Amino acid sequence: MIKKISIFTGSLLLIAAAIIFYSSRESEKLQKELAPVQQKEQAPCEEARGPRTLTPSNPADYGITLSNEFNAPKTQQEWDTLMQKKISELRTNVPAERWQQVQQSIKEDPKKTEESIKKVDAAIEKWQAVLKKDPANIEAKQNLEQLMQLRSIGKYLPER
Amino acid sequence: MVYVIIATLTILGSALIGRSISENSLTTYHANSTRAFWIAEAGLNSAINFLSHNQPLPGGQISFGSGTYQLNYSIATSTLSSTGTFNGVSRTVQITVSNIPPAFLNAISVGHDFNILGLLAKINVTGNTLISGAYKLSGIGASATFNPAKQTGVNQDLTTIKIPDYNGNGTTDEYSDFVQFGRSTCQSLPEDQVVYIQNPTNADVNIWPNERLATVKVIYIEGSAAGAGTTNIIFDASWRDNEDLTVISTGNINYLEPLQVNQQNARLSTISWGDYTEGSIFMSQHQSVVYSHDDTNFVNIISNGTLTGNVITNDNLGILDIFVKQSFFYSDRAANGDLPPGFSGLSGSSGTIDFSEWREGS
Repeated sequence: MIKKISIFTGSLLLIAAAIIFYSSRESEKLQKELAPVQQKEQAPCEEARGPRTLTPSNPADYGITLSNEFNAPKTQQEWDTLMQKKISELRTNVPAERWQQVQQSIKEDPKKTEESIKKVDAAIEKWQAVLKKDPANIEAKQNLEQLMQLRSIGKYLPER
Repeated sequence: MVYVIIATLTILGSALIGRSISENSLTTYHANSTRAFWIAEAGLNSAINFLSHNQPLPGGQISFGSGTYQLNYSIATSTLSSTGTFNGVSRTVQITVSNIPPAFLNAISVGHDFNILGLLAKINVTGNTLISGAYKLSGIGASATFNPAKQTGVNQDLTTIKIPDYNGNGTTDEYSDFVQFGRSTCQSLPEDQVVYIQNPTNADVNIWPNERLATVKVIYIEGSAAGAGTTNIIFDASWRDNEDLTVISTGNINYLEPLQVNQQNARLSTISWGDYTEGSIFMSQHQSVVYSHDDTNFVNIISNGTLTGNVITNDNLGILDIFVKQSFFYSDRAANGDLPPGFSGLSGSSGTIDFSEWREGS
C-alpha cells in the first residue's frame, strides 16, 4: 500500500516537474515571438559612430589621368598623340558590341566629318588669333583647348 | 502521505497558475506594444503632414488616445522619427526626409542670364525654362524654341541651389561648404562606390571610360582653390547599363563628346563649383543632371547635342559660338525622388519634400 502511494506520489512529482519545465520553455518561446520587431541590421546612429575615414584613391586604378602645366598637351599634335593612344586602349578594353554601338552612334557621311573638322579648324584659327592679340584671354585658351580636343576626337574616334 | 499529495498538487497548481500569469503578462505587453507602434505611426503621419506644409513640428509628448507620441527631426541625418508610448511600452518608427530643390522641376534653371549667341546656333527645350535674369538671343541665324514658354525674372530660390552650411559657421553657399559637401558625400557611401582624388596642384583630371567605374557612384576631385583646375569627362565613365555616377569637382568640368550608347537606365551627372562646359564634334547624347555653382556653357557643339535631365546653373547659361545645335529634354527622375548620387546633400532645408525608407528604429 505504501509502495503504491509512493509510486503515485513520485509520478505526480514527475508530472509537476515536467509541467514546470514545459511551461518555462513555452514562456521563453512566447516571449521571443511577442518581442517587439527589431530591425535586423540596425545601423548605429551615424552621429555616434562618426563619419568613416576618407582615403584618397589612386586615379590610375580607374584609368583616370592627371596632367599639369608641365605634361599637359598644348599643341594639336600633342592632343592627337594622346587621343590616338587613349582611343586605341578603349578599342581593346571595351566589349566589342559596345564599341560597335559607339561607332554606330557617331556614324556619318565621311564628307560630313570632313566638314566638321574644317569648321573646327576655322574656329581654332579664330581663337588663336584672339590669343595672339591677348595672350591672357582665358576664354580663348579654354575654347582653343576644347577645340583641339574635339579635333583629335574627330580624327581618331571613327574607325576607318 | 496525505501531506505529500497535497504538496504535489500545490506545486502542480502553482506551475499552472505561474504559466497563466506569465502568458497574461506577455499578452498584455504585446497588446501595449502594438498600440505603441500604431501611435508611433500616427505621430509619423502627423509629422509628414506638418513638414509637407512647411510647418514646425510640435515638441514634447503629444497625447493620442490613451497614449502619447514624441517627434524628432534630425537635419544632420535627414531622419524623422516618431516614438509612440502606451502604458510604459515604447516603439519608434523612422523615415528619411529629402528636400527636392525646386530647380529639379525644370529642364533649365538659370540663376542669372541666359545668352544664345553666334552663327547658326539653335536650341530646343522641352520642359520648363526658368531664368532669374534676362534672356538674350543674338547673332546670325541664332534661334531657340521653348516648350512651354520660358520665364524670366524668376526668383532665384526657384532657379538656383545654395550649398548648405556644411562647415557649421552659420553661412551657407561658401566654397568651404562645398569642399565639406564633397567629403561628406564620399563618406556617406561605401568605399568601393567612391573615387576620391585629392588634387593639390589643381592639375587637369581626365576621366575616360573604364570598367572599374561601373560600380562607382561618386568621383570627387578636390582641388586647393575654388574653381581651379578642369576635370575632362571624355565620352562617358563606364559605358555600362545602369550607370548612375556623379562627378563632383571643386574646379571646372568639361564634358567632351558625351556618348551614352544604347545604355539602359544610364545617367552621368555633374556638380561643379566652377564652370560646366560641353562640346562635341559628332552627334552627342546623354542623360544628366548638371549643376554648376558658376556658369554653364554649351559651346563648340559642331554636330548635334541632346541632354535629357536637368541643367541648373547658379550664374549664367550660354549657348555660344557657331554651329551649336543643342536640344534639352526634361526628365522628372530627380523631381520624383530619384536624385543622382550626391544631390541629396544639396537639398538643404527647402524644396519639395520627399519621404522614403520607412523603418522601425530604436
